[in-house]
Amino acid sequence: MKFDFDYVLSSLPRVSDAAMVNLRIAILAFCLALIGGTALTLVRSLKIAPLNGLIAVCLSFIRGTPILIQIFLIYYGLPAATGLRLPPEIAGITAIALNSSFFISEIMRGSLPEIDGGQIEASTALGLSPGVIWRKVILPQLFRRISPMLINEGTVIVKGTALLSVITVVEALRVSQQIGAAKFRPFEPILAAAAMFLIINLALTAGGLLLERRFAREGR
Amino acid sequence: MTQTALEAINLIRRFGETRALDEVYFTIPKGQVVSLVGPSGCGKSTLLRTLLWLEPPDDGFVKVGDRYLGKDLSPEGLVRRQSGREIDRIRPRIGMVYQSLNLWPHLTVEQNVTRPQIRVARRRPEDARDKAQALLDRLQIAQLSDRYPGEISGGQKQRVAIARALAMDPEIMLFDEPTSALDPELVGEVLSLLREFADGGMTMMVVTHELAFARDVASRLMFMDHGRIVADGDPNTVISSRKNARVAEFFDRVQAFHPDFRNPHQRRQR
Repeated sequence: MKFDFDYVLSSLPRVSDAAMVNLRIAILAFCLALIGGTALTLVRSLKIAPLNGLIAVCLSFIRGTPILIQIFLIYYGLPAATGLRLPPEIAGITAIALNSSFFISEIMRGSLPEIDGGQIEASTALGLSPGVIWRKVILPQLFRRISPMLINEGTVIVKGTALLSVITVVEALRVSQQIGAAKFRPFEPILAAAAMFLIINLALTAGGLLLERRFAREGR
Repeated sequence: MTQTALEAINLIRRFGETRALDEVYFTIPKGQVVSLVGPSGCGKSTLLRTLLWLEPPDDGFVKVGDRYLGKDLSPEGLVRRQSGREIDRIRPRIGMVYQSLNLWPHLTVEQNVTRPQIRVARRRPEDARDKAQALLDRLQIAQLSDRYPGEISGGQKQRVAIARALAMDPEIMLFDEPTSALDPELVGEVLSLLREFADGGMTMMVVTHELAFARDVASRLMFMDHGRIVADGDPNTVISSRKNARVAEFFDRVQAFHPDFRNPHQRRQR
């Protein structure tokens, strides 16, 4: 069997249309994960023991089990347990966002001690309330510091959207498999899908580099 | 009648068995320049943190201008704890300049000075900016407004930190060892800036190891040891007094490095 480059090109239009679904899911999931991760970090900073214990249990589950299983749990498990049946795309976004929230919260926790305690004390002495200190002093600096790791997490999310093909979301990988099944040649369309993921992630990393360069000017 | 800028009333702070603050009382009238001197570990840092209510004392009151900070004491003797919000509003009336300065590195010089004015004092952004420009101008760093703290020198950063505190119109400025984090060549610059403030009538309390400043610029010296203010008064009197053994010993040791330190008359004739 010979590699057929024209076949890759001919499957590109349909695959790239489907990749827009991946992009949409990834953007939504990433935004939700940023909000969720920040919320988790704030809650953890309150140091309420039972709450932090619960978060630790959830974290070890999310970190310790494959995301594919988590996707299944939300798509198939949630309706069985609560009767709430989410459409495939919504279930997928929820699973990825939830998973990523915990990872982002861990990233934030890791960099939080790098923010000088003296700054927080000085902010308090100037009369800033704890909420304002979080919003205007801690979080802006934290996000600057963790931006490379966030971009990394973003690429993980983009790749993770491919997993949603197993819960019937019509995205790039699934469409490429459909093309492959129709033509009895699976290899080339999958390469087309791979190219789509690569393009999205390269764009994301380039955006990340631009951001870093901007932050670098502000320096320390 | 002179108004009071800052008053400490029976401040007590215990850490286990040791007393970091032991019945500290003092009143600083408006316009006075006080230096706070003492060996390390004597409770100076705790005192500063307590005065700002960052570390509430086990007992005692702090009064800034005519308002209590942290705990209210009514004329009838009723004690009431203030809410976090109330405390945040009164706190900036003590202008604190930290040794490590603690500027916000992600904001420009101007934003560092305007942000607390807008957020805490609820000033309009344009008023805050005018105030910031006036202060930066007075401190001769107006040309740096758009720079970030990472792009300016240590001495310039200190001026920004001073401007940030002054912008809140404090009753008193507290300086925590303003010269010890700086390059030796900048020390003189900072001391002359403080002297300028003193001549301008600013109320200040300066924690310092710079004894020449304590003697020549400050009009009052408070000596702290083991959480107590053990000597308080005219700097020359405190320095040359032999009444308190601990104080005398401290200045004896200092004298070894500055031979004519104890001899104020020589300096006075300048």
